[in-house]
Amino acid sequence: MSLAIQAEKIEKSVGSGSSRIQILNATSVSIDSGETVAILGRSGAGKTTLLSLLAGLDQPSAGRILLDGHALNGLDEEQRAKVRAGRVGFVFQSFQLLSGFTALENVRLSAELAGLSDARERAISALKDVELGHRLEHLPRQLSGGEKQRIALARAFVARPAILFADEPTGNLDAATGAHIVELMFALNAQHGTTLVLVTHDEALAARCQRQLRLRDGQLVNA
Amino acid sequence: MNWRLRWARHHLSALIQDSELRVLGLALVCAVAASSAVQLFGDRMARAITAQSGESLGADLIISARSPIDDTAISALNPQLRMARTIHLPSVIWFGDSNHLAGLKAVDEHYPLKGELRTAAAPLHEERVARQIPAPGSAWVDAQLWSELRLQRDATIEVGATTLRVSRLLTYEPDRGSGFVDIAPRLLINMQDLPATKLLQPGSRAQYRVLVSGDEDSLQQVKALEFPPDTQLSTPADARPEIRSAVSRAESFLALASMTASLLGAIAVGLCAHQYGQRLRADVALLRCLGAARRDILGALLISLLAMASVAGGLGAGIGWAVQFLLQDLAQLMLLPSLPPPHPLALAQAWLIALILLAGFALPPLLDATRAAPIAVLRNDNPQQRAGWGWQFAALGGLVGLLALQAPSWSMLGAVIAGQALTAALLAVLSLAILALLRPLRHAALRGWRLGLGNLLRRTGLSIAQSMALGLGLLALLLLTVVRHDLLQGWQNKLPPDTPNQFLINIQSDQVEPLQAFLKARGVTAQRIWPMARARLVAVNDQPVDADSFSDPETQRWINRDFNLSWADQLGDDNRMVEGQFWGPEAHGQALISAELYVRERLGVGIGDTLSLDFAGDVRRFTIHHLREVDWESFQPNFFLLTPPGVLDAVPATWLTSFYLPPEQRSAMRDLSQTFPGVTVLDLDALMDQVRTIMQRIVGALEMVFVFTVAAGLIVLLAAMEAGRHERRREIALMRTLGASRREVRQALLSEFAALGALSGLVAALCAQAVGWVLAAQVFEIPYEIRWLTVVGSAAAGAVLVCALAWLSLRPVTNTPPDRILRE
Ligand SMILES: Nc1ncnc2c1ncn2[C@@H]1O[C@H](COP(=O)(O)OP(=O)(O)OP(=O)(O)O)[C@@H](O)[C@H]1O
Ligand SMILES: [Mg+2]
Repeated sequence: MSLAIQAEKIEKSVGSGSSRIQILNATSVSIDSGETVAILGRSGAGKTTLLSLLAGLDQPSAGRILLDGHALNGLDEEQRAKVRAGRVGFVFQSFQLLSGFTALENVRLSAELAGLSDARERAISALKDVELGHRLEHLPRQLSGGEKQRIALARAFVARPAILFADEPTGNLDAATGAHIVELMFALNAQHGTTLVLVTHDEALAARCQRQLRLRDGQLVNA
Repeated sequence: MNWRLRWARHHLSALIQDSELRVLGLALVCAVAASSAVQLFGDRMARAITAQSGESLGADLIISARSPIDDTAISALNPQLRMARTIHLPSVIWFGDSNHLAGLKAVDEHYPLKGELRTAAAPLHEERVARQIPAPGSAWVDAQLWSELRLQRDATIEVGATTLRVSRLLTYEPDRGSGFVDIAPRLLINMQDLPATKLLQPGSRAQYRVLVSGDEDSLQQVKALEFPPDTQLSTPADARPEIRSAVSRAESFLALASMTASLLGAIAVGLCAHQYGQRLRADVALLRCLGAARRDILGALLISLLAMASVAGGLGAGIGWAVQFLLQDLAQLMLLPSLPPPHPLALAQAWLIALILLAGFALPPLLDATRAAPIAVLRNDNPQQRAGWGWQFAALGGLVGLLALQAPSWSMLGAVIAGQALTAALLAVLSLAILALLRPLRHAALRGWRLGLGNLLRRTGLSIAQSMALGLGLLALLLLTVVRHDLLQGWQNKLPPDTPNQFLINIQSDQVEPLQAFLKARGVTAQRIWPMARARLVAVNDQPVDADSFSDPETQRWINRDFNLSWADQLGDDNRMVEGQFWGPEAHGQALISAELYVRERLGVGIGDTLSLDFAGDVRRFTIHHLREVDWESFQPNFFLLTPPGVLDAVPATWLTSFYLPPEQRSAMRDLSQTFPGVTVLDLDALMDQVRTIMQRIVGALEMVFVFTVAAGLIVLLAAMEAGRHERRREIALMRTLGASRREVRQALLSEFAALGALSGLVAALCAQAVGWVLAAQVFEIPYEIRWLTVVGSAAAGAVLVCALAWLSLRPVTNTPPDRILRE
């Protein structure tokens, strides 16, 4: 089985001099293709930081990261964006949709960035998969939080990414809506065989993943 | 359509839906509309005024030469062109035993092409418009020659080898020239009589003229023709210094208005784009996160900016075009002559202005936004990034380009840029100072007010930026309303209603006192009475000169005439020293001479050079003592050359004076010429009316054009209010969530904006007075008084205006439930 993510001895520190904070301390992790992994940790432990490094949104101070077989070291932001396009999907706590784009346009954007030719058809079918086939032309501000997050899910899956990163996807939703989103996410994940890296505070949600890792003192440990 | 186009389209539709982009769009459209209207209208206005002053030249174009002009090429150009031919030459006219040198002018039947000739049966008789030129065998004589020769009606005068009958008194000819110094006795005859005079000999000092009139294109064609080297072309603007300076002043002012409009537009566009750029960062971060290349994001932004420039440029130019037609209607209501059609190039320029505005002021902050790091999405924050120096230079470059497009001259461009930089610096310093003064006040204030003032003081950077933008907007409004009124009024007052309209010349020395008594008895206050002697220039620095010593036709003509000299120990307000000092009592009796700048221009002489003048055989040598400049617009008697008193006592002299005579007292002049037969009365009412009308029209046009600049100023105010609106929305929502009552929130906002408005109003008023003072001194050359009441009033008005705008923009926010804003 191939590795979706391989991180070796990555470090991350911010600031300099006396205000320097070491967030990640030479930690390593390997995640198999198709594996589902939850990352736990108390607030401020560095979960979001780790996620952004693994997804290639930021660069580690030291260490090596391979994303779907591509070494991220030494790549500039522009080249990393190219690696991300179509290969990585995101679901965020605060949805993050383009406010000027309709539901369909938001999803289609991701498909187009992945270079898919039938972007529109795929976007429509992805929105149908999250039960929003009837809200294609609606703008984000016309939709509820749960609906917005379902669009985000459709956007994340539309390009069939190899890896999906989710940072507290239910953090902004009430329990029932959150549960619905989680069901959808795991269903889509199972359907597409996507690798899932999920950051959460929620032990029950973490338990649904195959592996649980805890971030403590800048190190990942098995929970 | 791919996502890039969809994203670009989204920005375009945001021009209408998003409040910041809406103001940006408005600013763009207004700046373009203002500058294109000014360009289109100003251009046409200037051309119309020039055409109108054509009436004062009798033609649109005069071609003059020392030898006969071959005009076949001109008639071949365009059948629409109209032409008249005149020949001018100095000649001694005899009547009985008396004689006098006069400027003889022979004209053909087409003369004059513009304007009209007016005549009377005899001096002080009723004036009539002449439909024809003098019939063959007859001559028209002006009042001066009439009185010099003591003519009567139907007198027979000798002109060269022939005799002519004096049929009318010539009271007005369009190309007479208005400068007092230009006035020489005139004899107008029919061209058919000229051969019989045998005056046109080889070597005679004749000047041949072809007067041309027609549409502008044909005139351009004429100007492009090849003429012999000594040929001179003159247009109305060359002929009338006071009209020329009025037109160029109007052009400067129109340019200033449009430059100010685009400058204000630039500020508004920059402010809005900066705000919009901040919000754009979130979109960019997300796009980057999803893997979009920066190149694609940039491409999409450029597409939308180009589209914006096209839409706004087109719309602005369209509005400018339409409004300019409206202006034309207004202009006709004001009895302006019909305007020539607008220049299509001015429209292209309008579009260019939209492009520069966006490229210089919107592109930098937006480009900056495309650098947003994708990590911002995960952090859900939007770090503000300072624009680099590179962009500030881009904006500066854009500004210079924008102004250079519209500035009529480099010196004006420099003056405007320096002025704006100084004003901005002044605004910043004053804002800082006043903020510092406000600091201790904060604790004394009520709770709501304390919050508001606190806000203002906490965000010093934003407060100063906002107060500067508001200040600039208010400054523009003030300059364009209050100060402009003062300036234009002051300019018109340069020719107050009691400007002398009657000139008396040829007063003999023994008539001076009785004449003064005569005027006093009739309640007429005569201005100063000037002695005047006539002389011819015979040598410069002891080198003999005559007309042939100079190649320039204007100098040749000038040398050929008698110079009028006077002497004085003090100067009027309309004289300005350029080099050297005016003489004191010690100069009495010394052979010094005071020269007007024109003398230097024509003869190339300066202080210390000598001029030898021939006073009817008595040649005297004078050293140039200083150079001065005369404001010929003053309509006061003035002389190119002056000597100290006591030098020319032995030289035969006459006296002249001027005064204002109300129309109802006209009959006094009839008495005057009966009591003092030799004295010539020159009535300049018609001439002054002409100048007054032109001034009024220019002022009217300026007022119309300034409306746009005022609109641009208002839009800057709006843009300044928009700045920080999003941030403020969140703050308000937070304050409300934390338990502040709606009333308290409003009080806090109101106090903040009232303070901000008063601050910028005060700063703007102080700056406006400073700018007004500089303009008055440097551009209009009129006195200017600082008006403290206006300063205080402007501060109050600024506070009210800014509060009203803030109220409009933020009222919906205070009414929105706070959680809705916080959830956005
Ligand atoms: N740019 C930065 N500058 C300074 N400190 C930072 C920066 N980014 C992150 N940190 C710090 O690093 C630590 C880890 O932050 P991170 O956001 O990764 O935590 P987290 O585990 O996601 O917390 P939470 O569960 O609350 O979201 C925090 O203490 C944070 O304050
Ligand atoms: Mg986090």
